[in-house]
Amino acid sequence: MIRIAICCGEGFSSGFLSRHLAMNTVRENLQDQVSFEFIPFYQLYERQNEVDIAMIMPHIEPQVRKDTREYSIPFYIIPYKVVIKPTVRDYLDDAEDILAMADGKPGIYCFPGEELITRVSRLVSYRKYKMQEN
Amino acid sequence: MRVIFVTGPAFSGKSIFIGQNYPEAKLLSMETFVTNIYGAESNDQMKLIGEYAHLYCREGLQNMIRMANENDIIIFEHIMLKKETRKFFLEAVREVTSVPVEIVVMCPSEKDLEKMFRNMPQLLSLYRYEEAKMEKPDLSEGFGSVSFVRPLIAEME
Repeated sequence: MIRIAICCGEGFSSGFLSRHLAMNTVRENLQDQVSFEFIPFYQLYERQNEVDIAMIMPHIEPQVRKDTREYSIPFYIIPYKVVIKPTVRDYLDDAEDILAMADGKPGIYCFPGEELITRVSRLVSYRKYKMQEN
Repeated sequence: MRVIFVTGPAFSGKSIFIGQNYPEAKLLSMETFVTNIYGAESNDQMKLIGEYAHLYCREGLQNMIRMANENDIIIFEHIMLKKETRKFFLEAVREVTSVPVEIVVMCPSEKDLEKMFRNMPQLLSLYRYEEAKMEKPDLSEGFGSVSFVRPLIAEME
């Protein structure tokens, strides 16, 4: 099972994303494959051993990039154009692929061509998006 | 007329409580105003829809109170984790009536949570996240009464 921290702010969008993921994990019957912990970013350093990867809400990217502490898990800034549109399966696919890319090393990771998340328009996982392109 | 805010984290039993205790009440739920969030075409738009939803909901609550009879019970269902949010809606009520606003906060016990979220750890995780964010209300916020209640799990089963 992959344990994903969803790092949110305190706003409405974060609350909505967390509800969306929690309910759809049950609906998509993925409870044995993924668990989400909703962790405000300021708590992540102390709680990083509870998860395998942190997926970060895009609006808190500046905070993340300013943080100079050493973490032990990879970070992925959520690039989806509308964070509540992808399915839980999409989130899981991207987490799996980022974890494979990270290969046990911490740091902020992204998929090739997605260095600027403002330019990302996909609403599905990267692997699904690439399959659709081809 | 009575005006009651029923609040608490996601899946804390708000709807069940309302259905069991106030089946005849006039109900306004914040959920009604946020469903169109799925129509957002960007994260910025999602944020805007959320903000507008609060404004529309505010107006809906005021209109419901204006149209109510003296024997009506008006229930407003919203998670209202933050004091600021409660203040926003309490002030909205104050603009149209001086009736004391009652607030009910759903507080399932650990045993209740075990029963409610059996086999659904993801929903428990969400509940705990929202519970941790909650600023518990008190009378100093201007409510006529503040009640902390457990959902009736036996009846849920």
